[in-house]
Amino acid sequence: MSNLIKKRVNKWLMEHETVLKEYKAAFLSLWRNPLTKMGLILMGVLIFVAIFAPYLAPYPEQGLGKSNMEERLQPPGWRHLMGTDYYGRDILSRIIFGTRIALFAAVIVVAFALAIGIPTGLIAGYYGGKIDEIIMRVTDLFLAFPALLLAMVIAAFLGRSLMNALIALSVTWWPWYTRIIRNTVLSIKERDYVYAAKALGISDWKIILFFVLPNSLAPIIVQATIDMGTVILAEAGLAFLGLGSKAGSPDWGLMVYEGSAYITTHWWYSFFPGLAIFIGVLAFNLLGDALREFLDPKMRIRRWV
Amino acid sequence: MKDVLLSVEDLYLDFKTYEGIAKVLDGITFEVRKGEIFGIVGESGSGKSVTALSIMGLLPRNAIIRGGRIIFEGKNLLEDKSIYNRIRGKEITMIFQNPSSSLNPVFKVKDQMLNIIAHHLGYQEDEAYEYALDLLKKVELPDPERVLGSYPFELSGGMAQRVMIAMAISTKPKLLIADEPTTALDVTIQAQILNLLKRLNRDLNLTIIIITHDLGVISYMCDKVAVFYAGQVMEIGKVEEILLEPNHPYTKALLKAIPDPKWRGKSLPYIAGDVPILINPPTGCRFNPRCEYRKPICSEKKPKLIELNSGHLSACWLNERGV
Amino acid sequence: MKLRDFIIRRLIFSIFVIFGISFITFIMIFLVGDPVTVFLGHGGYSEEDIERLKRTYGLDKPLYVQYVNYMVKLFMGDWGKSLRTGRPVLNEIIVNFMSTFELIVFSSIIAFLIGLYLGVLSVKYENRLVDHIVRFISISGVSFPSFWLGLVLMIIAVNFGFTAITGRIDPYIKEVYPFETITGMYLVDTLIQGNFPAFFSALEHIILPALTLAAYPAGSIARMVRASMLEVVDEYYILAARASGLPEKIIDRYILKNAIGPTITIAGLNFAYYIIGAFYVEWIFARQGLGRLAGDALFHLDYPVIMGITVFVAIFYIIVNLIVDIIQAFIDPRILKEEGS
Repeated sequence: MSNLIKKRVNKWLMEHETVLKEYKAAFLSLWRNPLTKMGLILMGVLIFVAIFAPYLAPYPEQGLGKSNMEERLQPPGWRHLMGTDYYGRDILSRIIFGTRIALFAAVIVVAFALAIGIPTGLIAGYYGGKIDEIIMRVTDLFLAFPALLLAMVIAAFLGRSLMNALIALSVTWWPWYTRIIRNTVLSIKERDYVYAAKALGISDWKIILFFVLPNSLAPIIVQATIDMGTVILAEAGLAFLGLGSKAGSPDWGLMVYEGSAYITTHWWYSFFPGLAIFIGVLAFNLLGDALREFLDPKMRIRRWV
Repeated sequence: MKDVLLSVEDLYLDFKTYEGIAKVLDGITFEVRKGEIFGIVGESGSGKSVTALSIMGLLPRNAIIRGGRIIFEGKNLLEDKSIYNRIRGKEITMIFQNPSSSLNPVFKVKDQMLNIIAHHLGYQEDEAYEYALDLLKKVELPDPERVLGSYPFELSGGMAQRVMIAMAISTKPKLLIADEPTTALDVTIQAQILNLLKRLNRDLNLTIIIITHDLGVISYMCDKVAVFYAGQVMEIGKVEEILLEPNHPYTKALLKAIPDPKWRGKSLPYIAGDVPILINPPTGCRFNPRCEYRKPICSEKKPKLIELNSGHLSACWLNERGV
Repeated sequence: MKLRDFIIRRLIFSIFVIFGISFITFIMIFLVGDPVTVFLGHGGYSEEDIERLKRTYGLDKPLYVQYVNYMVKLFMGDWGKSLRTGRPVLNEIIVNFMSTFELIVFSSIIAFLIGLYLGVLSVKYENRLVDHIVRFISISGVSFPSFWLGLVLMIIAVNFGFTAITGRIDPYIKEVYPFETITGMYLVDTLIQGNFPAFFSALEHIILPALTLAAYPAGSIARMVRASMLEVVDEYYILAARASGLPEKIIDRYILKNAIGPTITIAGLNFAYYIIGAFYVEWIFARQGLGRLAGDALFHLDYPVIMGITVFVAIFYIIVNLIVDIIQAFIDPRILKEEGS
């Protein structure tokens, strides 16, 4: 049985040899850059930590909120590598669990924004005319204003919870993607292969799905990756203001807030969670940069000095 | 010889790339006499533009010159790079393929021209302005005042190329290199620009090197022509001789590939095969894989450029006795 | 198209935006429940009191009427009164805004200079160690949470004995060397009046918040400068310019003028960040400003203030973007041409 599978796999490998070679070359050229290497590694670490949190955290129950009053506000030491918080909970464990919140927020908000943004952008760009006008006016509205402020207001009025914060963020986030996709579609729409497809009588939605969309994805992928980092930052910011996760949750932003009252005496309380936010965002930014280079017309030969 | 203005001797050039070292120029040799219009013709990747950049000293950072000399007015430019500060843009000037892209989009034409005039000739602003107007008239631009006050995107391709030419002759150079000057222009404009260049060559005694892939341009403009292929020089000679009595198999094949109405209904002749990738180029004569007269020695040793008769040189083993 | 038409089109658009944003905010507030009830919470007020309050604030009228009333009053300068303090909203906003404005301007100058320098450095040493280091710094800059960075800088500063970490000025100095409020910006006012002790105190107090706030834009600008310069350097016209023998200094100018366009766009987009970032930084460093005001208003759900700040920020943001666009049109004349078609 496995022989048959091996044969099939080998056959596929041989057929796609040139494409695979290209990807291998591109990946290697990425790996060459120390920054992108760092991004890929950090990303891997984040995902790993999020998945295996209960097994990695030294004090998993404390990570989830159980207090440990005897060891309150301990500085970093052997028992607690990053110290403990006001309730004696091990900060390292809480940070590990906080990874799940951060990644969850990042994925949810960006997914939602894409789910709304891509279709609206495709429709606006492809059909143009009145629909385009309306959609673009709406997005212009959202984009003419600091989105985060709007999100803050929404979150404030919806009430304090992680989901409300995410809803608030999602609502203010999608217009960016609509704009990007719409502009990309506009430039693709005039390309010859689209006209050729139309001339062949291929239906509109098929054209959109199979011709226009795949070619518009590159800038979106880059933006989405970077945005996931930005969402982590934004969600932490909202939590810091008390507009996000409820008290007791191992949300990184919330932890920074809690620790800010003790900043001059117990520096570790705010320092480590904030550092976690930084590393999380950094990972996505590095990855986004790497993707941008990867998806750029490969073989960018520098012509002259 | 006394009236040789530029002599390129045995120029070897490599490019460092991620895939390896591309041997872009493999022993380029040719001579340009004063007052000549010299043509360099070849397919893409033949090394024509790179040769021009080498002469101008504008090679990118990953270019390595492995050997050879570029002698201009008796001095080897490759020996002392500081010579370029005096020469580039002043004694030797260059115009490029895409005139609209050759002008800085955010500066007016006036600023760009005056920068050059001021830098090389030291004129003050008013003098320079008058001089610029003069130059634009010389290149047959109507309404030079308006052109000076315009931004590059407001000019047509033909007008932009005339502006480029004006800038190129502003310093009264000895040599002008034109890299595919008309490729991006309409056919009617092409003719005008070529005529302009011819006139300048005559009136200003301006030596011109024209780089092109278009044999029609060569036959119209040039006195002498060098045929390049994959970084090697195949044949050099007077234009009439090359076109009417080509010696080298590559030149012959090129000329045969020009469509001729008498072949209506038949398929067009073409040269089989592809231009080689220069990271692992063919050994010996680089045309040998596609040459119908190929002999074993062709892939073993590179043929030298041999003078067949006065001024006509060809690099082919067929010309050597006993092959 | 002409510059004048461009501006007019923008202004019309801006009005539309102000209406749109204020409408959305307005709707949201009422979605949750009428503001008075929300604000009062479960304070145990009687039904009559609530009704009375509602009538005072005109909340018993239908929604669209309320909105129209609000907008009309807005344009006439009456932005309502804070539910919490009773003071006129517009006054509160303006007084606090000048402090925030000072911080933002100071910060953006620092950010621009640092960003430009880093970006150019990065290009000069492309792909060598310096480039990688600078790129890391830039990416870090945009990855720092501003509230955390502020705290960290505070810790470091205190460890070095630097104590100017809260407020806009040392209150002792303010008493001993008083100065008048002219613009509301301490740095400007003290300098105008030649009050150097106060000036230096204000400077001391603004440096940490400004650095914190500048981290993100500096990184963002550095990356943009690098990216657009690399693109420009590859362009034909730079090669052509070199071929014409122009000296490096002029070539650099040619490159810069083309590269700066996208950079200014980014600088403009960063303004959204400045406003939000300022909120956090003011909070951390206990500075008076719009951020503190907004924070309090959001916490207490003080809706007139929230509405006021939203509209105000929208106006400010629009003005800034307009200025940025005009500057860009000057730098790159092609923009006006494109807008017209």
